[in-house]
Amino acid sequence: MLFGPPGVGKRTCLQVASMRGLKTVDLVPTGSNYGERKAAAFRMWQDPVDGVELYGAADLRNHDVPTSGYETVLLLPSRSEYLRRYEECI
Amino acid sequence: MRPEESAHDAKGLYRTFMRSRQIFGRVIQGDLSSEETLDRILDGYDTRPVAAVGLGLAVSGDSSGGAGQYQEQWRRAEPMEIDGLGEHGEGTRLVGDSESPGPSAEYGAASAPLAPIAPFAPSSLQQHSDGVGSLRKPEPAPGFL
Repeated sequence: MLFGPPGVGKRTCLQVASMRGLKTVDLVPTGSNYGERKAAAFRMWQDPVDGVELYGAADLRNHDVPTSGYETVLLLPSRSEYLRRYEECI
Repeated sequence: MRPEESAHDAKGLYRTFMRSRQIFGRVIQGDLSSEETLDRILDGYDTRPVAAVGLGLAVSGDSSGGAGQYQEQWRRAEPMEIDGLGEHGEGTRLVGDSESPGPSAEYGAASAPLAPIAPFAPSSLQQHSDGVGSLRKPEPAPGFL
């Protein structure tokens, strides 16, 4: 389950993984709000996992992810890039 | 960044993720291509040095310095954190050695001085400036223990 701030490359990572033949799910388009996306994710997680699956977490929280069978990975830009983006936002 | 995300939202999201980085199973940080990022995801890579993970500190993000060595240490170590730093710990680092804390930083960090990096660190961090604070064990990070 991939988490991370906007623009860090979660979606691109999913695309690359998909091109490598991995199952990928971007949760952003699965609903119009947090509740819908969370419900969609839970429906998917009821199916048994076969191999590696990568999910783009959208706005799901870390604690929404099942504690067994799934791993949360936070993608962050380098510190210099983070600082540059942060300054842009001020 | 998607157009609908305002600068205010982005700022909040960046700060939130930096502040909460210790609660995730793994963190992958650095100037990486998508291919490199995916490789590290699949390889079980974790950018965080042991001491930084345990203390919930944000350490310089360049993961090109052989961060894989820290993963093994992290798997062996009992994670610890200082009360309060989880709330205000973003933007702090181990003084003078943030790029490569090395083995000497393993748990030695609990007694290492902490320094804020402007503009993120609040003044409340000073209460931990002796580097000791109140130590407690958090719940094991999912996927690591």
